[in-house]
Amino acid sequence: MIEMQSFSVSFGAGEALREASFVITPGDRLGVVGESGSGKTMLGLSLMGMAPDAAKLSGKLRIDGRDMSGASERDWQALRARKVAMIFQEPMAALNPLRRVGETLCEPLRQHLGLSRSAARARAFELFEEVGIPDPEARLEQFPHQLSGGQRQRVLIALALACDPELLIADEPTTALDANVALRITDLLVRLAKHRNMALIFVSHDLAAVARATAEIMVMYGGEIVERGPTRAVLDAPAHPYTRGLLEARPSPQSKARGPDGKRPRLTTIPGVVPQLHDLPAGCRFSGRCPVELPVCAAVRAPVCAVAADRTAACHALVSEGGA
Amino acid sequence: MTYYLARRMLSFALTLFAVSIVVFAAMNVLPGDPALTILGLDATEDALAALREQLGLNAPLVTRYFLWVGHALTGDFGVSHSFGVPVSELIGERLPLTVSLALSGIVLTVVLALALGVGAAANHGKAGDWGVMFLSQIGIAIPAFWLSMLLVILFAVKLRWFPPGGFPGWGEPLDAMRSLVLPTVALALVQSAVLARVTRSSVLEVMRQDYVRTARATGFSHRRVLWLHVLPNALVPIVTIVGMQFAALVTGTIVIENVFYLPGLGRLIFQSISNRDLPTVQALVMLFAAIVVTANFVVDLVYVLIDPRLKSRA
Repeated sequence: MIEMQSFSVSFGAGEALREASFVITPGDRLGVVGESGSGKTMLGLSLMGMAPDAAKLSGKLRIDGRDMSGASERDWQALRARKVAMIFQEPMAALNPLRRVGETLCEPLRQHLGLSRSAARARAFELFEEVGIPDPEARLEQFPHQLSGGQRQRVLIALALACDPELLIADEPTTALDANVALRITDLLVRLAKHRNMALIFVSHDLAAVARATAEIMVMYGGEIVERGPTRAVLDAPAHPYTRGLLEARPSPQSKARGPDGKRPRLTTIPGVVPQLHDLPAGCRFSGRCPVELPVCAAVRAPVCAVAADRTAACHALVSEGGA
Repeated sequence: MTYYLARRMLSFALTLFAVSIVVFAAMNVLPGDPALTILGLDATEDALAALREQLGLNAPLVTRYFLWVGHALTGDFGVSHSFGVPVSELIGERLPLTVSLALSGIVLTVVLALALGVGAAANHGKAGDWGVMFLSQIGIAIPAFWLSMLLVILFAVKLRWFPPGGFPGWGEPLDAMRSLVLPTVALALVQSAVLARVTRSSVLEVMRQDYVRTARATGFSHRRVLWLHVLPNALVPIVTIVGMQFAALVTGTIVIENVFYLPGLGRLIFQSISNRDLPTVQALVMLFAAIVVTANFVVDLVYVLIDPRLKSRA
């Protein structure tokens, strides 16, 4: 079980992650969505103990009952790959170009699990089969540049699974891939998580992929978790104005229809841009771009409100609605 | 791969051919008459003409070039004017010393530079990094001959750990090696200062790559990531510089052998230039050029060993 409590990551005065709290247990599949700069990746890196050296961390982080806030690099090395593993956005650049992928995969098996050369080899073969790489024997002998993007991402997934982690963090695992390859990788991650009873954090800005892959969702903006709940419920009826904005900014089949003037309607966008780390608003991070902004929003942090039994959103507008 | 090799070999051969033409032409347009040098200013015109005939200096230039190359290919570089023995014999006697000096120099350069450069990159922005950068800046600024003199004063004159110069011959291997220590250090320190900087920046560059983050995320220690994942990827620019430095070390032996009174090729080329000993100078310049071109050829082969992507592209 992994538990974050009021966990913040800051660079000087700027908070890249602000008091994040959540719990994830085996079998959970949690989606994390938000624009670039919303703190999604920082959340993932923090769970690996890989936040940049310049970052100041505060709050609680417990992994398997161990308090990892303030843990040393050596403590983290013992957890990475074995308890928490992560795959990254760019499969093209994430594999050592000088090594055969078989060598890359055997390294943690031999180093961390102490397998012999032949046992590691056999295990690597099984892992390649598990992640759906055809002809594993031949593939193990190849170099990354000889594989396609989808196959490289599968190799990286196999590498992340090598030491049977309890949690797999997939940071934009499909962003760099073709649409149909992306779909298959998404389904593979879901199948692996279910089959291994492993927790999955699926970080993406692709709402369709998150809807397909996860049971629960966290929407992040400006380093803050603004809304969370069951994926289906949140995407069907978003409570936070930012989540609504994200959903409206998606192209839908209807938007293809031409208007009376013969032109296609423009896609709705959220006005403005994500503010830089050092000039985030002090109150609600979304103030300044929010369509339902109240006078209180810019200065005071929005309280976390229960929208339903299993859903929360952090928004002042929800409080005044509830009070009225 | 075969195509790549064939192309490298061809360029290797063409370079040597071009070098031979330049060397031959340079030696023959130089002012000064070898016959006059050998016989002295008092020689009669008849004697000079006879000697020119004997040395083959009256044949057309092209004929003389092909005669020279033809003989050189069979290992015959003619007879030294000043020593009166075959040039190949002169070279044979001195080659082992210069080769040992250059090889030990390049090994020391690489070992020092990798240790310092990787160490500096691993401590990027900290005291160790600044220390290495400062020392290497000094190392780059110091001329090798002056460094040699400082080394002699400290380790030979004051501490008496090593001889100040001279060479006892290979008959006494231990003393021979002892007398090569200071020259090796003098050659390597300056070169390793340059190489340490190249190593540091190349390692820093690779440390930013995604696959290094993957290796860290797989739970490997900093040391393992640095030496097994980062360094191999940082090697291509390092190997390029090492190839160039080997050339610099070989030519650097000319100065160092003169400072330390070592009977090697560097000292021989210096003496034969002073004596206007054309066959010897030609052979030596050609030999030095061949060593440099060979070093570059080896570097081209090493690239392919390091990076499998080159193999399939080549």
